Amino acid sequence: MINIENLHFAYRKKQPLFSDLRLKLEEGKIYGLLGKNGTGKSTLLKLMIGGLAPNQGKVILNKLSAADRKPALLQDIYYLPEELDLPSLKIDTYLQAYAPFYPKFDYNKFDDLLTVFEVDRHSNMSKLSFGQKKKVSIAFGMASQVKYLLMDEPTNGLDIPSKSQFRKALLKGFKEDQVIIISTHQIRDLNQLIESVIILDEGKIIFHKDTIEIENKLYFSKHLTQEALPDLIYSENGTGGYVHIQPNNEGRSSEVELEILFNAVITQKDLVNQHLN
Amino acid sequence: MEFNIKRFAQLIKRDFITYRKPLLFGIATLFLFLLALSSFLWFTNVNQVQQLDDDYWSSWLVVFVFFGGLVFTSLVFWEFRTPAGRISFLSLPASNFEKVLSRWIYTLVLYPLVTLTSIYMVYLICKLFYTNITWVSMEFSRLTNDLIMLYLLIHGVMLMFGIWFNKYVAPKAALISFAAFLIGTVCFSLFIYVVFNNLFDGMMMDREIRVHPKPEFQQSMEVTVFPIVGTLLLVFIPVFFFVVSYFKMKEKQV
Repeated sequence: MINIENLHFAYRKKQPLFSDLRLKLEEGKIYGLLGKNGTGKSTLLKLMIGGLAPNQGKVILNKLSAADRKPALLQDIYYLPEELDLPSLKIDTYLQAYAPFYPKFDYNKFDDLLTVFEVDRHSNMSKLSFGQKKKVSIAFGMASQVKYLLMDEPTNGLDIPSKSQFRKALLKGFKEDQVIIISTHQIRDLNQLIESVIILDEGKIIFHKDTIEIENKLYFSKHLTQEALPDLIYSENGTGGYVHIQPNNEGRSSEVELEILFNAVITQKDLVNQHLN
Repeated sequence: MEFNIKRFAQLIKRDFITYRKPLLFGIATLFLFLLALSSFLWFTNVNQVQQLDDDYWSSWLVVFVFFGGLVFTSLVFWEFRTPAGRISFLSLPASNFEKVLSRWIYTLVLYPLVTLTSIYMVYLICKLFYTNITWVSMEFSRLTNDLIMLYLLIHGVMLMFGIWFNKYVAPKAALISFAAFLIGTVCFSLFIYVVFNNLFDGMMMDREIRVHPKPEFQQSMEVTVFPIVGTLLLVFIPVFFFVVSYFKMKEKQV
């Protein structure tokens, strides 16, 4: 479990990013961390790995404070940053250098993932494209079988087939004792993957719900024209017509459109939360 | 402070695997440069004087071991130069103590040892064609202790600033050290001025103050206390800066 208590954090003293932030994340879920630029998504992930220290409050993982960067905790966390700085090594040499730090590292799984991502294990990482480097890092993170897998914009730089392969691989390798947090702007890539949605805005968590709960309480429907529905919560004109969000009073089934939900929460936070509580 | 020998060995292995190419290239360059230069001097020596300058080897020791070591120390946290590198290094599953200790050993033990050995090997090779050369002069031998002390001091400062700053460690460390030295000198001068008042004239005393210890006392101090203080300093300086660097590493953020 990840437990964030009373978190205060600021890069500059007079501009606090987080004030009294509280969050509990349970095992066995894939979390989607969403938010506009500069709302602190990456900062929150860095606080979780101990790369940043809170000004006040605590970030606790496995009953250990992240800021202490204890090896017992670090060997159970893998963080995939948005920008990569990989050494100029062959992939198998990289594996020799880094994999032994993670006791549960599965070499066969790493090979399988590289095969799926179509990356040659014998290639030198300095000669790989950004997307291929990202694939190697994703494969490494998944094969490390850590309890906490935190990914910042993982699909950024991946080609279209790889995005689908990434989703499949993540779902296939996901274990019930794991916590996966994916911070992303590209919600469509991960629409079917995310089990719990966290939305950050102005340093606060303004929305935190499981997708099952959203499905049960909200109904997403597509229309060619904007309907004048009396109970409409939110409506947005997309490429294929209008997407409406209504209360799901009749127990209808619909797929949660994360992008539409995100826009609805950002513009009408209270109204959306009111229907979900 | 956490220490696990297996994890520490893996950290060293990881560093060696990651940086072996530039390291081996650096050592080979040093070796070949000295060998080529010494050979060039021998071949271009029209009088065939079978000797190199007395300070030839000691000069290279100062350049490569002393200054080279300080530059190497300023670069030992190379991964801190980019945000992604900092994340990668700080989230690497090893303790802060192990991370600092490994870099401390590389810069304080391994680097001087490897460069010294390389230079000495070139010296041995040169002895085959230069019949009359000396390793280091007596004057330089007398300076060795002071040089080691100075290296320990500047090394500690570089290591600490190497963690503190992400880029341009050496110039920043030099500037801050110089500023600290200036401020320290001014404060010390002010203190002396307050204590000695009319004896003080700017940065100099206007009257000579001399102390004449008894010769036996002077001798006993030189034989007992001074070497003990010197040895304690040799231990204290690196340990002090190691501890400061360790705490700096604990506080280090991306």
